[in-house]
Amino acid sequence: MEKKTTTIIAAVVVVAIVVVAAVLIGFGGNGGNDSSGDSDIASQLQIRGNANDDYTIDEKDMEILDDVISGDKSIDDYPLADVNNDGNVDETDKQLLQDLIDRKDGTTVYVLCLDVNGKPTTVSCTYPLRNVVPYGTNMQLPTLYANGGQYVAGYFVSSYETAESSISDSAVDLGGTQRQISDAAWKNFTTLDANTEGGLGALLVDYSGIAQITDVRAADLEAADIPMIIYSSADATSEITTVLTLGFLFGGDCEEIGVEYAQKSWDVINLIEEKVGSLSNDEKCSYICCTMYIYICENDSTFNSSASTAGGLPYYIVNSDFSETYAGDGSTKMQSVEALSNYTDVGAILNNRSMDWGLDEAGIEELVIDTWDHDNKGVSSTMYFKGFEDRLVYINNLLPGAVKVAYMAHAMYGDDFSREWADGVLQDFIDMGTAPLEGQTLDTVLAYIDYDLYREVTA
Amino acid sequence: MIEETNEEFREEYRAMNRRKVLFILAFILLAAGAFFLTLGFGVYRIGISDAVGTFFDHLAGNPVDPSDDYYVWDVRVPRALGALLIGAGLSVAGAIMQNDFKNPLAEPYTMGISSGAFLGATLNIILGISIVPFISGTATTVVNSFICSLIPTAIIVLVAKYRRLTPTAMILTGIAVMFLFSSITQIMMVTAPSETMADAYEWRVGSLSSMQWEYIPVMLVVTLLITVILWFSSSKLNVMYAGDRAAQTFGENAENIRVSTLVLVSIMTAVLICFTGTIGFIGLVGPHVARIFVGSNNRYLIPASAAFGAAFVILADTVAKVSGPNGLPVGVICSMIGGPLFIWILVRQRKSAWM
Repeated sequence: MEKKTTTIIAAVVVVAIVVVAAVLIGFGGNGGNDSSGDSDIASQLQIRGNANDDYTIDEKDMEILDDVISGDKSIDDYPLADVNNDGNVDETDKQLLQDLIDRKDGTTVYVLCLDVNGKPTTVSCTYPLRNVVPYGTNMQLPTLYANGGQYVAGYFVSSYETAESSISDSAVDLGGTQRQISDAAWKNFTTLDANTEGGLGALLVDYSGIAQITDVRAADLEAADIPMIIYSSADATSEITTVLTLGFLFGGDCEEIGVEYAQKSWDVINLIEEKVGSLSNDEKCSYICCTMYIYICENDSTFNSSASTAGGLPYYIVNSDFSETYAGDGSTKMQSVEALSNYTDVGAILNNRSMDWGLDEAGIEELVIDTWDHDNKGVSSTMYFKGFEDRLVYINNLLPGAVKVAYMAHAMYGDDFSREWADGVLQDFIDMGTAPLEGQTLDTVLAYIDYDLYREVTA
Repeated sequence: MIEETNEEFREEYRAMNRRKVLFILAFILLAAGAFFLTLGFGVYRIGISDAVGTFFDHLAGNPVDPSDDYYVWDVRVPRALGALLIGAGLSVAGAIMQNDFKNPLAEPYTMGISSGAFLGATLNIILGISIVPFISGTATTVVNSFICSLIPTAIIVLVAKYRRLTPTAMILTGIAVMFLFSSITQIMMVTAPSETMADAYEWRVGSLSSMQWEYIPVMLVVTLLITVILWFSSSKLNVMYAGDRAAQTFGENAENIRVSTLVLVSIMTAVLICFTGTIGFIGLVGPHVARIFVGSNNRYLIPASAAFGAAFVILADTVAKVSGPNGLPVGVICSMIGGPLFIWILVRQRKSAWM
């Protein structure tokens, strides 16, 4: 009897210890008690000083700083109140914030972004940001959407003549490729820094291209005191914050366009969320994303994040075989035309293709056919997507993130989001005056290709 | 007594020939079996019996399930036929090259055909260039590689016409052309973006995944026609095997035979590989394996090489289809399986198959 009682007591103690430990771990995980100050902060404008987590830095942020200093508010609830990223909020932060509110030239700005391992970090640069070098289409376009082309000192590759035409005429072609920065191109980069008065302002990198920033190159940047601002800007929501943040950093008209761009984008995303966000998984439209014609995007690909923002359900959640086959965050080339054959119950195939604009009618027809019937080393894309024609769409990957999301929403929920609505979103961005779309109309931009359009141009 | 000995010798000779024919028939049956087997393998899930049923349903003009019918009839049957043809064709081509040049290392690509084909394919894959102006789309790589693959042979034939070349000199000329073409290709490769470079390399390795019905008639007619011509020339080829001087004593012009068979073999190889990329190994090893079983008489060696090559490539492609998430190029599997298999056969054989 005594032994039994002891056993019960011991069991209760063990359970209590486990529960307490779990609770403590739980608090630790949610409390943001990260001494580095770089915990995952969901902010629209990724600048320290944006204490109220909105789209700009103004007096409202200063009021929060005052409250934090007086103890009325906690830094845990307002982590961006730590303007200089030293772990405390004090008069130094207030002085720095005032400089930011005044948009004072030469102010040191602490920017929230990613490090080379994809973890949140803070890097500092000088306001206003000038002489930048963007790397990768997914970073170059956001730079230009923030109307920052005038501040681009150099670029590694520019493949889209019209969409990227706002890159400064004086910007230097450093001679890289979409996927690679060669040693020669990197040498050109360091030479450009040496030849630029005051040095380069920042290297802007899309995280998908981070492999090109080797340890040696990262050391070069550190030695030359060039900040590296990294965002995972292939994802639509990250792209919005990238444009907003770069707009702020460039200052002036760029800040205005960045804010307008972000507000419009969030309006679109919120509308989608409102209409289809409450759907259960059974009601949602499942999707598979593709890129480069016949590459299937893996489960954690940023293309999938954008499609999920558009209300879709990634197919890997529905199909465990697909989930195992396509684990990862990159993309896998289809090795045979049978690659999709076992996934016939997918709701939509969203194929992302970068297509320049400034097209005439003939150019659009040619591009539609080239896309739909694309030659993949002797095999037409139509062979790979046989049986999926009614669910396959190509969406222009150069478009603003929210526009892509709008067309994805139309592809998956055509009854809720009409083609006219998606076209209207594109028109809004054209009207906004963002440089890459300047002078374009709905007739000069090939935004969306479906089977109906293909049949129409080939009739 | 002498007559009895002669009769025994004749009977032994006939038995030996029967064994050779049996070997050929066995590999033809193996290839036929592998043809039906491979219809049940691939990413699309369908059992072997259902796949075979779908095949015969289509032949009978009564396809039941559209999806089954598409993946079996439109995708797997042309791929299987392509495997049979390329295996047979390259193996026969290797046998002729080894015979013509009396060199066990000779193969269909010895004259630089593969480097020419690769250059042509790379021109389109990396630079988007079509050699024939009015050709575009999916046919460009095929046409480019076909034209370029014949250039090395044309150079060798032209040189041989104006300056008498020994077999060794012809091989060395082929190797020189191969290096020249490879260097041009490498210039394109080192400056290419990683995706297109991967595409070009994949073509270099060789794959049957792009096989389509439209390609089969061309491959079939050329392979069948040239193989039959070569088979009917067996006696002349056998004389070549004895050497140029011996051929002369039999009233044959060794150089003419060599050049004409070289042209035929080059055309056959070019037609086959322009659709698939340069699938390696089988052209070198197929004839050696066949020679172990049937000897060097081209009357048996040509069909035996064809039968073994066809069976080997279709089985290798069956393995290739189920390797990795959605398959691997057959060229990789050919070498991966064939290399150890060939070493095993060489170790096991009691007599030298060559010479």
